[in-house]
Amino acid sequence: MTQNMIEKDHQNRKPHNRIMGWAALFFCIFLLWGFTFYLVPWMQGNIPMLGRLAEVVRERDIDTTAFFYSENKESYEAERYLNETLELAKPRGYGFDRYFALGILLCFIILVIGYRFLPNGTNPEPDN
Amino acid sequence: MSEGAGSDVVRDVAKWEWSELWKKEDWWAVWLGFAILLLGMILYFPTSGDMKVKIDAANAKYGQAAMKTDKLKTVSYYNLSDAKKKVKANSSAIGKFMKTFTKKPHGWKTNPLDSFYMSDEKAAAKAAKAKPKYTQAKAAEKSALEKAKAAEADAEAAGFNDAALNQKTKNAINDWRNAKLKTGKAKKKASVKGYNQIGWLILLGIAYAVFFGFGTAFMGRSFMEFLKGFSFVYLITVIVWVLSYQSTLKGIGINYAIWAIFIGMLISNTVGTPQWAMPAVQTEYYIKVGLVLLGAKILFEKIITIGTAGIFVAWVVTPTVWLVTYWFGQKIVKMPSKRLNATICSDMSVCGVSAAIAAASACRAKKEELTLAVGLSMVFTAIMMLLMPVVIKGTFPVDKQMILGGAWMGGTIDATGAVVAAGAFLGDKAMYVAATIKMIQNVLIGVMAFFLAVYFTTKVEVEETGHKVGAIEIWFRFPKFILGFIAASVIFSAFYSAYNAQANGLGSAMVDQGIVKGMGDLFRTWFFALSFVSIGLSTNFKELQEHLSGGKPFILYIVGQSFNLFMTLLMAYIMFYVVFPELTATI
Repeated sequence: MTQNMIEKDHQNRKPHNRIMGWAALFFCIFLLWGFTFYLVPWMQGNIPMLGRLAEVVRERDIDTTAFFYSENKESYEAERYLNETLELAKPRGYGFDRYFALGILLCFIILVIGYRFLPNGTNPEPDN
Repeated sequence: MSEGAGSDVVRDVAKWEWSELWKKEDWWAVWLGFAILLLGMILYFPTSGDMKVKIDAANAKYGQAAMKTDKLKTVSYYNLSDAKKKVKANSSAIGKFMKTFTKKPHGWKTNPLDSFYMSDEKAAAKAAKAKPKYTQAKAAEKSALEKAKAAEADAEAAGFNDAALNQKTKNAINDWRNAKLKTGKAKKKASVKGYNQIGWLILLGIAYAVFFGFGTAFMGRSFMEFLKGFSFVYLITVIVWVLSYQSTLKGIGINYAIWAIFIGMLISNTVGTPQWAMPAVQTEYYIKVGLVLLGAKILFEKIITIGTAGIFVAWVVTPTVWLVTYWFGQKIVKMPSKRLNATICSDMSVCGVSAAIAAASACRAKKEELTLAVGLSMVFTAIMMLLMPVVIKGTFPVDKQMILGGAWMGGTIDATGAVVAAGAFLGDKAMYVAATIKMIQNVLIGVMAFFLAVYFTTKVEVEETGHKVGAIEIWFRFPKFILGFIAASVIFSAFYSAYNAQANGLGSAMVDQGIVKGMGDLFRTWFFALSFVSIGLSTNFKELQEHLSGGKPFILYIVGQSFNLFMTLLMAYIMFYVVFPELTATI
C-alpha cells in the first residue's frame, strides 16, 4: 500500500470500522493462541510423521526456521565431516579438477544462453 | 525513471552525479553494510594470531594420532576435530559482548514473559532439575569413550586390517559421539542462568534507530520522524521474534519471515498502521543493508566441500530449473509480472526466502510479490520437509537413502533449516549431504542476483520503457547494493581462503565464526525481520489477491518444483552413483 493509500485509509476509518478492526485483531490473536497451544500439539500427537519429525528436531536441537546455512550449526558440522572424510581418502571427484571447473563453467554457460534467449517482451496482459 | 504513453512520454535522462553516493538508498545500504563488516574486521581479525596458535596446538596434540589410519576415523581424529571446532574468533570477550548486545528474545514454551526475563532463582531451579540428567549423560559418555578406545586398540593391534574389528570400532566410536551429543545438550540445560533482556533490547533499538536514521537524514528525510516511526516498527519486530521462538511453532518450521508478514498484515488490515510509523516502514532500506551483510557469508571455497557431484547437483541443475521455469511462467502460464515470476523461480530453485529476498531486490519486485513468493516457499517447504523423508524411506533402496536421498532433499527443499531437519529424519549422513548441497546452492545466490540485476536492467526495463539505453544508463539503473553484495562475497571469500592457507581451519575460525557469526548474522537477521515487518505493515489483502491472478503463482511453483525434483534426482543419481561412485562410497 502506498503512503497516499494509507493516509486515505486512515481518513476513511470511521469509529465503527475502528471497533471492528480491533475486534478482528483480537479474534486473530485468539485464533493464534488456539493454533499454538492446541492445534499444533494435537497435530504432533496425532500425525505420526509430524510427531516423529518434531522429536528429531527436539533431540538434535535443530533450528528448522533457518534460511541460510550459517544459521544452522549442523551445516558447519556437515562441512567439517565431509572435508575431513574426503580429505583423508581423496576419492576421484573431490578437489578442484577439470570436472569441477566444468561444472562451474556449465553454470555460467547456461546463464549466458538464458540471457540470450529469455523472453524480454513487455508483460502479457492478465487474462482474467 | 518515469514514462507515459504516446506523446505524453516523460523520460528522465540518466546522469551520474557524485551526490548519489550519499543521497541514494542503494549506496547507503553499501556504506552501512560495510561499516558493520569493517567493525567486525577491526574486532576480530587482530585475534588471528591467537587462533592460529590454538589450531597449531590442537594439531600438535592430536594430529599424528588422528592420521594413524585411513580405514576409519579414530578417537584422536574426533578429538582433533572437536578441538578445532572450539577455535572461534567470536568466543573472545568482545564477541560475547556483541552476542549479548544483539540477542533476540529467548525461547519459551508456555509463558511469553520467559522471552524477556528469568529470575536467578527460577534459572537455578531449572538447572538443578537438569543436573542429574547431565551427570548421568556425562557418565555414559565416559563409559562410551572407554569402550571406543578399547575397540580402537584391538583394531590397531590388528593393523586396522581386520574388517570386523574396524566395524566394531566404528560402532563404538559412533556410540561415543552420540553420547557426547547428549551430554552437550544436557550440559546446556544444566547451566541455565537468569537473564533480563529488556534493557538490552531497548539499547539495541536505540542503536538501530540511530544507525538507520543517520542514512535517512542524509537522504533528505526527517531524522526525528524516522525515530518516532522506528519505535513502532522495532516493537512489532520484537513481538515477531517472541512468536518465532515459541518452542512448538519453531518445531514445525514457522519462521520469523512468516510471523513478520503475518503480524504486520494483521495490524495494517485490522486497526491500521499508524501514520506516524510510516516514515520507518522502509522495506527496501533494511533489506538492502541485510543483503550486503549476506554477501559476506557467500564464501566461494565452500562449493568444493562435496566435490564435483555437488557442484553439478547445485550449480548446474539450479540455473537450468530457474530458466526453464521462468520461460514456462512467461510463455505458458503467462504470468502478468516478470518480477513475480523471477522471484518465485528464485525461491523455488535456489534456496527459499534468502534467494527470494536477493532476487526481488535485484529485479526491483514489488513488496507484495516478495510476500507472495515467501508465502509460497514457506508452505511448500513445510510440506516437502514432512513428505520427502517418508517418500525416500518408502521407495529408495536402502543403500541409496542417505546419499541420494540427502542430495535430493538438499537440492529441492527451499530453506536450510527444513533441509537439515528432513535430512536428520533419515540419518546423519543424509543430513550432512543435504545440508552441504544446500550450502553450495546458497553460494549461488550471489551469481543469480547479479544475473537477474543484469537481465532486468539491460533487457526487461529497456523493453518496458521502449528505449534503447547506453552503458551509462545501464549503470544508472543498476541496483548498486548488488555490487556491495558481490564485493562483500569476493572480499571475504579471499580472506577465508587466505586464512585457510595459513592453517587448515583458520578460515572457518576467523570468517565463519568471526565476521559471519560474530557480526554479520547478528545484525542481518534483525534487518530482514525489520524489512518483513515493514512489508506486512504496508500491504493489504486486496493488493495481495491481485497478484494471485487465477492461481498462476501456485501453478508456476508446482510445475517448477516438480521439474526441480525430477532434475535434481536424475543429476544426483548420475553424479553420485554413475560418474563418481568412489566419492559416494567414501562419504
